[in-house]
Amino acid sequence: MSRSVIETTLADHETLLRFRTGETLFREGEEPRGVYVLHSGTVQLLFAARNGNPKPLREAQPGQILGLSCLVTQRPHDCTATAAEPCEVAFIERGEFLRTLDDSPTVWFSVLRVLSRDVNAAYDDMRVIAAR
Amino acid sequence: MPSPYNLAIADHCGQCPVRTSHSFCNMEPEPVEALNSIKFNAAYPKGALLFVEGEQPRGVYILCSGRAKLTTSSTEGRTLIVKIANHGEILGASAAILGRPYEVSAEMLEPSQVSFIRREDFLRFLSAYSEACMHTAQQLSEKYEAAQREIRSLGLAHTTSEKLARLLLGWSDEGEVTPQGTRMQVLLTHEEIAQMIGTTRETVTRLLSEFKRKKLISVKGSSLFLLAREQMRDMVSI
Repeated sequence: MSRSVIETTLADHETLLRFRTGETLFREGEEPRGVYVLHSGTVQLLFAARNGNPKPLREAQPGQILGLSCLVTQRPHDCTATAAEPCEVAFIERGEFLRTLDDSPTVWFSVLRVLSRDVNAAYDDMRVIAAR
Repeated sequence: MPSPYNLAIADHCGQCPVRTSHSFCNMEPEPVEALNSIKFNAAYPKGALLFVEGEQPRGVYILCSGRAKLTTSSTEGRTLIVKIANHGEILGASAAILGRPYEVSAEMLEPSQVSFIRREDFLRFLSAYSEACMHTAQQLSEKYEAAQREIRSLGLAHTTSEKLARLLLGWSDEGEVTPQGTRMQVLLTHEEIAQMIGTTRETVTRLLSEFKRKKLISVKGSSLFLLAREQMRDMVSI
């Protein structure tokens, strides 16, 4: 529900991007340029390892918003996002995104809900990983 | 003036001496006044539970002073510390926003002043002030990023000594550089360190002795000195 509020509000400001399998949306360590709303396809999130191959973290499904937390904290991306299959992604540039939030308080609340779910998903992952 | 646990209690957010150093509370005078009118002051002893995992959300807690550990149970039933929350952090926000049970338990690590805000009041506060939304978004994002770092450490490290090395390196970022090495105040028990990296108390004790023997660290009282940062970094593959 909340995701669609964001999607509707941002629709005027977005750029539609297409990624082929294996192409990268953003890389770990890069400065965040904006947020990515996944419309179709699957995106694999990965951690870069200091030596060796990147390690898969989790998959993002259509409707999910990527890059929100680092846009808020203004820190570099903490993982790499790669298209696991052909993807359609709406990209909203950082400044545009923040301006939209200023104009629309209801979108703010949707953003908080998305971030809250992200926190919970990360805690779910921790519970599983700690049991291994 | 007498106060619980001899804490320097700030009754009014507007007069709080540390407010501007706390990223959530550092807002314009109007939202600060609104925040002050909806919060309840409390002082908790070490070991007090603010909320437990699975409980319906009553509201959010702001740590005005002190630290708290946020814990969950692994799918195996082991206690896992997901984060040591510092003063200035707001706890329980994701549960309050989603209207879902608390995802973690919060236990005080030292006597602390805490401000409680009822869920309905908190949600109204958010809808009235976009600055409060921004600051809450920052808090949630920081919690998310901290969790991501833990996942990386727990999930990608090959050995327990690598996880411990990573934890110590992380702490040393906030340590004090001295001629003897980087000094860190370790206010956690070996049991708690074990719960942070998903191992047993015995393993932590053994590994810390091993690190001491290899001259990677030294321990004096509650201070831990990191002596060989580069060597320690080489132990970490991720």
